[in-house]
Order: sequence, then C-alpha cells, then structure tokens
Amino acid sequence: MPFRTLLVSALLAVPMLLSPTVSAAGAAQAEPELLESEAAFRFSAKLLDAKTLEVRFAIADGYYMYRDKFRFQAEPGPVTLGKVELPKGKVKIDPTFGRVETYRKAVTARLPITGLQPDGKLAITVVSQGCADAGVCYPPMTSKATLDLTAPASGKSLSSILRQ
Amino acid sequence: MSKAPLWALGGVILALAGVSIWLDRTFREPAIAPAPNMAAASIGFPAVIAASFPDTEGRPQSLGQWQGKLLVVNFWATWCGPCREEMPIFDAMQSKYASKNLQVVGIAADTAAKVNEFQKQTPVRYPLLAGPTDALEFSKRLGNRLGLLPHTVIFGPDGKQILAKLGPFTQFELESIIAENLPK
Repeated sequence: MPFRTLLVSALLAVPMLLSPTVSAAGAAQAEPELLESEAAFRFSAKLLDAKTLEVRFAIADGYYMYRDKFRFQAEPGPVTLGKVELPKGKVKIDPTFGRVETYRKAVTARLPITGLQPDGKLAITVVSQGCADAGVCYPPMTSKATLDLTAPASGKSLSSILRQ
Repeated sequence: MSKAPLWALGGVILALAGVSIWLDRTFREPAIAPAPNMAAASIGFPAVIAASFPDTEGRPQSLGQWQGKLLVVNFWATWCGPCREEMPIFDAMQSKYASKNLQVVGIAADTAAKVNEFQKQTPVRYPLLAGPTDALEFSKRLGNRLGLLPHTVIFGPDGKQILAKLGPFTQFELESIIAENLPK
C-alpha cells in the first residue's frame, strides 16, 4: 500500500517536533535584547559641596551591580578621596560567591574629597561591575567624569560651592 | 479497517509531519543567525585555530590542537557568577563525551593567577586558559558585541560554527547539541 510508506515516513518525522534541538534553539530565540553597559548602568557625578562628590548609577530594570566591585579614583594630585561609604545593598546568598550585596534601581555614593582648588579640575574614575537577570555579566566598567570648576557653564555654581 | 479512516489517519500524520518540519526549520535558524545580542563574527575558524592562550601554568595552548573535534569554546571569568554556575555542566559533558571527541575549553577574562586559584577550589576536567586582556577581545570578534559573559561558541569537527550563545546553557540544551554534532 502506498500510504503505508507515507505513514512510516510521517511517523519518523513526528519526533522532530519534540527534538531537543528545537526546544534549545527556541529558548535561544526568546533571549531578551540586552543593553549596552552605559545604558544598563547610567553613571553621573556632581559636586555637593567643597568636600563631597556624589556619584550615582541609575540601574535599569532587570540589572544589578555588586557592592564590593566599586573602585573610586580622583585626579589630579592635590585632590584625594577619603574612605567611601557605600550604602548597604540587598544581601543575596549567591550559590557561587556566598553572601554578596547587590544594588538594584540605583546606587548613590558620597565621596569625601580634600584638596580641591577653586580654579581646578576634578576627574573622577569609577570602576564598577554588574550583571543582568538574563544570566549574563558585564565586564568591569570604567566610568569617568571631569568637573571643571573654571568652565563657564558650571564654573559659577561650583566656585560658589567651593566658597561655602 | 475501512479505507476512509485509514486515509484520514494518514492525512493527520502527514499534516503533523509537515508542521514538525516547518517548526524544525523555523526554530533551527536562530541557532545559526545571530541572536539579538550577537553580531556577526568578524573572524572565522582559521583565526580560531590559530589563536593561543596561556594555561594556568603559563604555557601557551593553541586552539588548533583540538581541530577535528567538536569544540566548545566557553568564555568566562572568575568574577562572573552565571559563568561559574554553568561550569559543572561543561565538566560533566567533557567527562561523558571525551572519548567521543568532544573538547571543551574555557577561556577566562582573568589573570592566570585568578584562574589557578579558581581551579584549586573548583577543579574541572577541561583546560582553563587565561586571557586577561585578549579573551574578551577574541570573544567580541566572535560576535559578542557587548562583551558579556558567559559566551560560548561551538564549532563542528569540520570547523563550521554550530552555535554561539550568551548566557548559561542548561545541561539538557548543551547535551542535545553535543549529541547531535559529535564526529560520526
């Protein structure tokens, strides 16, 4: 019978419907589009007063940053950073790293500074690291900001801050 | 059995077969086409087998030594939680399919010292190489445009790229791909 052959080949084709490759590739297709690191972890810095610099990361939904991965550096020479107190993060028992603290939504840190000159520049470099809930991590990210106290646009307010 | 129900049954099975072939074609494609977070690779297999990274002893290891095997190249880092969680799966696969010409190799975006420290705590049965600066660059050239980890690229015994993936595999997913592509 002709359809017996058809029947057999059709039956052989059916398991492909359930084949692991199909489900594996199907899962890959559902992969969410991930943000560039600068968009996932949006960095900003501003001077609050002559002795305090505020650094902030706005964190996109579905992303988080590790508290113990932050590193701060200020330049040039006369400017030094004091001990940075980072806010407490959400404690998570990580299957790999044990007890870790992470930030979601945003993290703001106040950096004590000394040696800032009224007509000087302050360059701040922040190294941070975060991951996405999708199961991927971003490599350590270096963010920089330069606060030019003499620049016409911001100079006035910053100079007045320094005179406080 | 009368003829009509038999024809009907044949028709249903044929329709199912058609659907399954369509599904298979439709869902197979993303494994080859770049996923949303991947770019097209700017280098091909010749550059892959020409690449070399030092192992934890500092000895250069050429990826070319595994040519002809089913090669699973996993980019990871000690600071990457999802990467570390995924590694027991690679370890299990390497152990299970080593005699069937599977080769997993882990390339860390880390110093050899960090990898060494990791390996002492968490031994795996596949080579771990270190590329503190060039591992991520190499990974990016293989299409990982955002430089995210883990990133895994699988090459067939013929050098054809089978899959590139960001994020961890499940064991089921990885084993299915391995089983289907091992050298015959």
